[in-house]
Amino acid sequence: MSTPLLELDKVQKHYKSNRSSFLGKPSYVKAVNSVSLRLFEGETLGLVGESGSGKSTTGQIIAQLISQTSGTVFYKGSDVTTFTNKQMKAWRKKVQIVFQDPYASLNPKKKIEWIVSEPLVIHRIRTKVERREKVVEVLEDVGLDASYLHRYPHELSGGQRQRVAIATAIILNPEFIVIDEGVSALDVSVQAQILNLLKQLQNKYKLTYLFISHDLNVIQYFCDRIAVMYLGEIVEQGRTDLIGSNLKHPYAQALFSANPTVDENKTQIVLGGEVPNSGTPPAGCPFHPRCAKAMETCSSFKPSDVHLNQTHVVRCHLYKTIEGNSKDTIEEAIR
Amino acid sequence: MKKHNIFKSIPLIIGVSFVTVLTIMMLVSLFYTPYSPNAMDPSDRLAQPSFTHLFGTDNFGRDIFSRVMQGSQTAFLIGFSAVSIGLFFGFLIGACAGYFGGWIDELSMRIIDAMMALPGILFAIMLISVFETGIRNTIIALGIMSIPSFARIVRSGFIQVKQFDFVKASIAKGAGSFRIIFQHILPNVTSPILVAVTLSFSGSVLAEAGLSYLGLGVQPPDPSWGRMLKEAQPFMSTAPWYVILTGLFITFMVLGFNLLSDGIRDLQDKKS
Amino acid sequence: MSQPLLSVQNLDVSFTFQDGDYAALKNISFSVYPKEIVGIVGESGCGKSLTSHAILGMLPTNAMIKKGSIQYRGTDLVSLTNEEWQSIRGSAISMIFQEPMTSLNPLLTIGRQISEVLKKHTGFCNKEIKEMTIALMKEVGLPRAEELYRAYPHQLSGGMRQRVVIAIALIGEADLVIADEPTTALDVTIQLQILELFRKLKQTRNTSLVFISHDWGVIRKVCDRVIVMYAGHIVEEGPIEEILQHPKHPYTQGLIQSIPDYKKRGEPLHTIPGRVPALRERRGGCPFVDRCSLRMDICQTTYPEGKKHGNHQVKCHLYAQEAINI
Repeated sequence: MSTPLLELDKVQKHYKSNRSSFLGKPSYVKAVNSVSLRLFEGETLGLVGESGSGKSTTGQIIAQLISQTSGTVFYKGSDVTTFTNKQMKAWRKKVQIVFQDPYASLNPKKKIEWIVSEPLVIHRIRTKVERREKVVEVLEDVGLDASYLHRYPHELSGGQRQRVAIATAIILNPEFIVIDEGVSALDVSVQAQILNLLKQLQNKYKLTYLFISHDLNVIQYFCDRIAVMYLGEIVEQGRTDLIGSNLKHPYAQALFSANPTVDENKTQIVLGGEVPNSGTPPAGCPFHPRCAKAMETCSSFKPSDVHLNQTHVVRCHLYKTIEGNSKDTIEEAIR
Repeated sequence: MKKHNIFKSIPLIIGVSFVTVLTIMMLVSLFYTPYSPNAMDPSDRLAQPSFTHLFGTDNFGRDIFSRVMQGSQTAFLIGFSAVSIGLFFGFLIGACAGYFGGWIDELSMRIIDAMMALPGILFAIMLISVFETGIRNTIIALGIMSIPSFARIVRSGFIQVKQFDFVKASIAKGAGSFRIIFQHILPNVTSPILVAVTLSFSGSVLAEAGLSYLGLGVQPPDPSWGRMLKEAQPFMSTAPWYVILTGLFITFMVLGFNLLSDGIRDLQDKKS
Repeated sequence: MSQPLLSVQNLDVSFTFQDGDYAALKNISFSVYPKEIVGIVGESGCGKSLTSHAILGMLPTNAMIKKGSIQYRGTDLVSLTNEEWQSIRGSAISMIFQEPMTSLNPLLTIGRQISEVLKKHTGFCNKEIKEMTIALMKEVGLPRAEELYRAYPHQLSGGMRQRVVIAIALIGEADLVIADEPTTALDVTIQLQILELFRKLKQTRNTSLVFISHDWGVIRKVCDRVIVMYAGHIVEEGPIEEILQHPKHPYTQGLIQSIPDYKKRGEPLHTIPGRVPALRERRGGCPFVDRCSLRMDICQTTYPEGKKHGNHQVKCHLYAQEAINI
């Protein structure tokens, strides 16, 4: 297998939470707990999960907007966490992030030309005149035109703002874009426009996407592979076509079955209870209090990753890797 | 649309007109006053307002209108300089605390808390009595007094704007701290700072008047509204216009800047 | 069919701005029958929420009902005074909002907030009220009801808060509940729990529900009938499965086709060009004309009449000939 474009190796992010008493020991919220991921060039990985699952934190660690507590982020085989400031600035040209809320992701006091050309200014690329040409070119790429140059963000609709946000992300010719709930705030018809645009840009510029979303319909349509997060852990990852009948983790099964769709009738698994507070996660498997198939071991031991085949990994006691076949096991063993 | 809003806000209209009239008066006084502000005319003491002396004369026969005009210079000078000192240091402290957070924030905010625990006017009196009275020390005292409020406003603005996605997006594109602070955060915190500036201006004018009234502020021969008020006090019954007119100008100044800040706040509420 | 519980007829609502009046709702007519869940679906700015606020007499101060009637059990609500309307809200018709946190008072206990209506409008003693409240809390699926009775909103998770809001809406024995995006702020697994609860309440309490959402999947899960709104107009109405399988209006067709799903992988999604016109940009003719790929000359000038095809109704010139005029 070729070197992944981006790899997360056992990444953790712990936040210090408020002490319960003045002299008490501070406790830690494990927002991201031992997350390992690989992304290959040109693919789209969907990171799914409910609120508090740590999917946004993972995205921001990948973009190095927040630093991880432990673990490593590799980009094309080199360790991003050891970069010097200069290397980091050069690396930032290649990795971009697009946020959910198109009303908060553009500086309200600046005009569109300023906003879109900012990355060029930061990296001192081209002269002022050439910059404008490039800005117009990129605006046309995202379906806008030169007439937007002198407008302010508040004069634009939600969809147009998201196009501008995408323009700022692609102007440096990046290789990798984290899309953090990038279409969740948009109406269906506008969302379809933006998804089509993202696909077009991916084909045109050979982009790799990490697509973070809670919208399961969008994930299923848009992504090649999916990773399902629950309470800071990736409980299952694999190809998108697993969805339907081949998901293995009880949480992933319940999550996708709970998604209301417009065209199929399926048996829905109604999960009891709610996602526990990530400050006080349950011992053992984080999902066991809500899991219908929970066993005794689940409440005391943390399951480790089970490689069912080359792409399909599940973190659950129900399955186990056949000895000696750790990463390439194709058969699954069900207890 | 924008213009429309400005004319709809009545406090803003009144505030702007008060401040404009006072500013014009101050500017004119730099070149021209009807009489020399310090010229005494013993033959014409405590004269009533008339066409020769618009606001009458004081107990030394000096033209009150000329002295009020001259006094506006002092008021503006003190307001402007004190606010500049307060804004400069307050911004520096607040911006660092808000942007960097952590122990820098913790340390600077405790210092600000300590400053705020001391009543401002008492602090100014202490400072002035330790050093010496005069315009310069009054300005320094009032300036230091206004640092905490600026620091707090700037800090909370910075903390608020710092977590917006456009700031994160810019960091992800490689922007440095300098760019983030001056291009992204600053333009988005100007309105609350502007409100604080106008409010602090009127506060400083009032504090100067108070200090000078107590004899701790501006010393003769520099004219000051606060001291004029003190000088007018003994003649309250014989020449009431002296007290009333001088007091009226202090009121105009303070009211003008307060209304201005109210108006700015209204405008910014409407926008958001 | 039985008498409708709620009947809205030719309702027009306008906003007054400095430069004139702008119609935000035009010709809204629909009925809700007892024990029925009616969905209102559409994109933002199409008037879904405004319709619900009009029914509850909670329009913003610069909006007003220009014409039409809103009848609840035969009483016209439009002519009611504020006090009369207030007594209907909470007892006969109640409302559930999207954000459960902002619709609860953070300073009052859950029990007190649920029982408030009972204390105000009934003569029960405190003990009875508490028993009724706890019974209802159990009915809407709040665990450990006795304990939660004394809890405060911040101690509850999002899903539990929304159950509390539902309990508040139901305590006055309302037979019509208007829910404005009640599950949009919730996670998928919690959303399913709440949707199941709505279906159950319809069976056990005979509550009718007007369910506003932008999510067709959610609408399909709970609703019997759906109303599609666009730019302040009702463009299509009918049984949910019928509309999903055979949408007639080009807007409905476009909306349904633009929903992403697994089967559409690899091909571009259908999109509707342009966007919903702003209040000031709306003019005569069909409201959808500028974005419609099937538009004809008549669409520019004439507002389409409603056509009935059984219980499926559509307002589009494409169907002018084939159906019976109403």
